[in-house]
Amino acid sequence: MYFVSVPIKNLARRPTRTMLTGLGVAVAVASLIMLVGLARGLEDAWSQSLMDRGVHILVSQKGAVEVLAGVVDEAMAPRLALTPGVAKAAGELVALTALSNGATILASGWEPGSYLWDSLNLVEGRLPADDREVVLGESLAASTGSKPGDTLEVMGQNFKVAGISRNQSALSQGTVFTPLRPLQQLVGKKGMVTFINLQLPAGTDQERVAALTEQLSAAYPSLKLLPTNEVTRQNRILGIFRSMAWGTSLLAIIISTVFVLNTMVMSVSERTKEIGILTAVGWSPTRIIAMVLLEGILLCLGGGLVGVALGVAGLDVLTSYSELKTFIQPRLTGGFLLMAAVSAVLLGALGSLYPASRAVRLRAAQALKRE
Amino acid sequence: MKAAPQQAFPGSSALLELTAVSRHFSDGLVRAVDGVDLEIESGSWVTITGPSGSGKSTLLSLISGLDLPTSGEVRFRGRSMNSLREWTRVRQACIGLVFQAFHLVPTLTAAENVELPMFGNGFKQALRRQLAHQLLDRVGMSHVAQRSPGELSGGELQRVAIARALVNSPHLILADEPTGNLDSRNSEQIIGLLKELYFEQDCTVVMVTHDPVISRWGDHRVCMRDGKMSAQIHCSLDDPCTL
Ligand SMILES: Nc1ncnc2c1ncn2[C@@H]1O[C@H](COP(=O)(O)OP(=O)(O)OP(=O)(O)O)[C@@H](O)[C@H]1O
Ligand SMILES: [Mg+2]
Repeated sequence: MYFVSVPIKNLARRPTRTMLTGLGVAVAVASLIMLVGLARGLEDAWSQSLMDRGVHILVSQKGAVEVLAGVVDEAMAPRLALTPGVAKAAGELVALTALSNGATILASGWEPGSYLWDSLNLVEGRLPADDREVVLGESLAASTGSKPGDTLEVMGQNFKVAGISRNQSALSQGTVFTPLRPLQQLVGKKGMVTFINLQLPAGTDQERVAALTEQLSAAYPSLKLLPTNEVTRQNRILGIFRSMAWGTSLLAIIISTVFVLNTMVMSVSERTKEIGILTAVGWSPTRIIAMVLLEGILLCLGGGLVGVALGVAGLDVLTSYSELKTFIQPRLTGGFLLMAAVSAVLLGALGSLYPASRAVRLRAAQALKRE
Repeated sequence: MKAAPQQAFPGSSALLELTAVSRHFSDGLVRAVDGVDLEIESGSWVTITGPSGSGKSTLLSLISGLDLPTSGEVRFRGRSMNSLREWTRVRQACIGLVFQAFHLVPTLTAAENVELPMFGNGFKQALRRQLAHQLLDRVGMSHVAQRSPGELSGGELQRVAIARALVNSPHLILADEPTGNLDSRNSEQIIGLLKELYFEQDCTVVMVTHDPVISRWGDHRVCMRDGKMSAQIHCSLDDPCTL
């Protein structure tokens, strides 16, 4: 018999209780993975869509709670483009809109001839030739069943689908790319864009990006400039979502720690006599504490692994089949999953520390008299 | 009787020395053990008798370190034993315990129960297994090795418990009414087994018993009454003494 067999046999003694407690841990770990995975996916979808376009610095309205809620004069784009160190500048108007089938999508309006059109990776058709034509992200085209030449209604106006583009980001995959003017008219923001995308010459390093950001911020006090990698981190809505995700998961983990604590206190107190026996045959308090901790850790490790599987599967379902599909870039790193499993182990250790200390408190002579 | 075993501490043949040992409960209202002086020599067989509630089990738990005295001193091989931790180490290395209620761990098989005392030895799993089976074989219980305690009879349980007590080749075996839950035939066999092992393993035995026949055998008989030692009778193993 190995040492680890002793706690395993203890867990097997009460299979229902063990399973229920393990399930509690699994749910906590799964919710951690799903909620934090969603928050990260949302951020990733954003950064990836900016990367798809070759954007280094995003210029938006200062003081806007949310980038998407701000407006910037479209005339700022050519002015920014003249700044030394800036290769290209292109205004972009973004609107959230619902299709007639109820799906929520993003509409991005770009100036004809802007460098942004070059970032599209057309798999079918061509770029728009006039203000009546649009390009669809591939998954949007698939969900609406559109092909080049078809007509798509956006905000009550009919557009002709000129081409279909396949891009890295889930956000771009679910976007309709329109010429700027008609979208400005449709949302009532004539002469305005949501933000301006700045592209720097190829090979510009992070330091140069930061320096330029600072320089431009000083020159244009009414604008907010953020390097691409900062955009998602500084976004308040994403920040709130991220905090909620962590907060909710933390709560779930605290609750399941209490579950584990309760289970382990019961498990130890109903075995008072057995612990007396182990002491009588020469098991040291350290060995007995190790046995109880191991029992809690094994319980939570089992639950944690089930939770990781549930979380990964759940996130996959959410991001593949639901409305979230467009806005989430599902990305679960091995490191994050490992962290989730490790947190389950820590939870087990934490939940059994007190029961373990209780287990060795009673003198063996007393413990052996218990029934 | 038996050749004097090797002395751990030259100059003293006492394995255990108790000086004015008391164990009180309920703030001194219950004096389970009350000022006992006792010396147990290495290699001897000592029986403790006395009426129910006279403090026999309490005394045994004090000389096995399952409990500490309220006052007085217990020395094991000349060393004063003051902490439970110290006692646990000593128990692991050189004391085997046998109880009336057997005290096997119900979730473990007979063989696994016998393995338990070896966890502190640093033995490999295979060696633990092998030694456990050897001991079970010695007490005639190899056929129940894979059974759990719930599937064994009282006599079988006590044999497994004896195997567990002996697996670390203890210098001292402490038995608290080992035949208390057994019928007379099983009792005789268990005592017979303990005697065989006593001679084989060259150890010291202290046994609490109610059975007058059993208590007649041994080097010493200690009688307890109301927590005090009322008599200490020297007997001869070959020539059973009578009261
Ligand atoms: N933990 C305790 N708390 C209070 N009183 C105790 C405790 N343990 C033992 N006693 C009391 O101490 C006295 C001696 O008990 P002990 O178990 O040593 O007797 P015993 O001689 O072994 O009796 P028996 O032959 O019935 O086993 C009894 O009166 C008992 O009630
Ligand atoms: Mg007793």
